Amino acid sequence: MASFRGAVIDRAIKVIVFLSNPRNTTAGRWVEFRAVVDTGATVSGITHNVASRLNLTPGRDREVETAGPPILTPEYLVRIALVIGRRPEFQNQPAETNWLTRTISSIQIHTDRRNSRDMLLGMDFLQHCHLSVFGDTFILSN
Amino acid sequence: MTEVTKKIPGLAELIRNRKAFEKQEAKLKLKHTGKLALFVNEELIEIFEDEEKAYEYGYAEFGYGKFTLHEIGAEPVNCGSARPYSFDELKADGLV
Repeated sequence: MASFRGAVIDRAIKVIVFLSNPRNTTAGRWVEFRAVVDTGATVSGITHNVASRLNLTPGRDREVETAGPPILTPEYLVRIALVIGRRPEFQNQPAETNWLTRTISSIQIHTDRRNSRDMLLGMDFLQHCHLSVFGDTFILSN
Repeated sequence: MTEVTKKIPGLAELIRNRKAFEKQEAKLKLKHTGKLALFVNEELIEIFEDEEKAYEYGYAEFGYGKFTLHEIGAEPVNCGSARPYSFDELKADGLV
């Protein structure tokens, strides 16, 4: 079982993810973004910056809970790759060795006030891996 | 940093299809709650139980960005600490 150990910063689990448009079959179109894990979110979310850079098109809509009435937001399919274990050399190692890759649905979210993340990783993604947190350390494994 | 002001392809269609879907949703709920309605040009094309199959059919028959899916009788989801970007805000920000 491969695992990735990281530091909990400002009480948040921040990871680097690589995202691509699932309809773009051209190799090497992965783009690096910053993600924050949110176990309180049932769905993942991406900012407009991600949708725009990957040229994503919404496939469906999604009603999302808010403090007021639910609101409608677009939802996109996006391919995600997250490093699990030692970061592999791109050229010399098969992608599946140390990467957890999935196609997931992501609603569109606003950037936060500090613009600290491009993506929110919700439980729809976390159900594909193990996550443990203790003190200032988190471990993500597959 | 401000959001990139580039229009999202397919978003206008999604919003139009949503309006067409809402007109039919009460009737669709009677038999198809939990299923997905596939719309093209504001017209109901097919109803699917499985999302993956709905996407496969849509891509094969109409192509990327040419169809939209709408869940019948969907319960709202929770996006945790994030603030969802609503259709109305996207329109106001010139992204539609």
